[in-house]
Amino acid sequence: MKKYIIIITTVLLAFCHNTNAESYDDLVDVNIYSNVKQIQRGSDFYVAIKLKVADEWHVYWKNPGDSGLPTEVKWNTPKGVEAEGGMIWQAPERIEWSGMINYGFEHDVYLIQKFKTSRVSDMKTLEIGAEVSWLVCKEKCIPQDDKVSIQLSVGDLFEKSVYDEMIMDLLGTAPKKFKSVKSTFEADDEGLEIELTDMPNDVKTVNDIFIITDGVSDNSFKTKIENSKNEVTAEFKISPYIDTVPAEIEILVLYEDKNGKSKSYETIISN
Amino acid sequence: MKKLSIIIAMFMLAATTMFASDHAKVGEKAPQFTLTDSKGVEHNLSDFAGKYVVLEWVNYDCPFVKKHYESKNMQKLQKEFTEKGVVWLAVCSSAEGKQGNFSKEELMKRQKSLGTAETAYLLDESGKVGKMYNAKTTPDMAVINPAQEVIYLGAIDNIPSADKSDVDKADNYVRNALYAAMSGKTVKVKSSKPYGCGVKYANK
Repeated sequence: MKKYIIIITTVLLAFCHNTNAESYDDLVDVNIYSNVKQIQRGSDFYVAIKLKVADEWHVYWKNPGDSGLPTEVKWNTPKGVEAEGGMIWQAPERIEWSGMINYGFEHDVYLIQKFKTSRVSDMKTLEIGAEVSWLVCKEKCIPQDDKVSIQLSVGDLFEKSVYDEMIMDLLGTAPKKFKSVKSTFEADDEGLEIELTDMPNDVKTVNDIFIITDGVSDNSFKTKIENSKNEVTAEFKISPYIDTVPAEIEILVLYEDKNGKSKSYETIISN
Repeated sequence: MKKLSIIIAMFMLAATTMFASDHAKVGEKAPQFTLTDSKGVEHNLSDFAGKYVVLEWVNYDCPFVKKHYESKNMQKLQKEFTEKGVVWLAVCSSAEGKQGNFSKEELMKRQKSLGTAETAYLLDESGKVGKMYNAKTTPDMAVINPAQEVIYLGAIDNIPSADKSDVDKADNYVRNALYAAMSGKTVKVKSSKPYGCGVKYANK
């Protein structure tokens, strides 16, 4: 009898322990896709990392805001394949929590990278690997990472994958790169004012501006944006942690085009 | 003579309180506060005038705080400087029911197992002091000089990560600020954006 009591108690204790233990393994699911099934030797292709984020949790943008960490991807590519340009991010959301502002994604997010291949490569197949690390937060924050990879064939002809349309759509809605020549900013001890004087031709109204360069602005200050005929001005408060404002800052501009469509662009401006 | 010393001390205390700012800013007087520690003892910042004071915002369940405690980095810093007479105040601004707000028993258990070496662990459930010091993350650090001026605000070091292996590679801003100030040199990095989990203040 005593033996049975011990066994039952042990089973019950084990059960209680399992039900109390919190598991965070399923908070973020990582997948990798490419727009090509077969890479045409010497041509470019894209690889997208999808982070499927559990409801009510969020991961962070390249500038995480007041707390958190940027999501990072370290690419592992074979010889003859190189990443071209920086990673392409979707525009983030402002996530407000206890008076703090973070920039990130409270939903699935795709991070896209363009790759170029060498013409002389004689590979028949190649593997693109990605070491992805992120911080996922709600009330708690959990640092996590995962490794994913994709095998692609290499040939003389280009062959689309079933994900080509999805990746092209994502690239279509991702912020475009725009070279600003005239747009500037001015900063003093308290504030920073951005003046956009050259913008893409289709800009009707600028709705929001995010400073990508981390640590420059006080995120809890609500940005004041003024659209006038030939220019847009935006006022920010300087971060209390910055000693010297850099000579150049990178910004993300969210705007409505002349057809009422939401668009965005990234640019570098100087003072 | 004794009477004169008392008057001077009272004047200095009044001046410290009078010119203290509402919000911490490097180069300005540190905002004054009174908080009770985990043992029920009340502490006024002005009690520590004449000494260096470090404020460390803490939440033992935050992975960034774990990085610095599980690697023993924080305890080493606490010991290194409290032995030199620095007052090290850990401040918990987690609201009641939020992560990092522990019962007295749980807190003692955590501190014993981690071997923490702060001077006092201050309870700031209302978040008032956290907000005065613009504490946004755990950890988030402030260094105050003997004249009760803020000489450093922000991150503990220059590698924003939750990875323990980064501790030895990092440039520790708190150590650098304390050693520079103690030897009469200029503090090179006076502020740096803090990194970590958001401070668990009372709701939105």
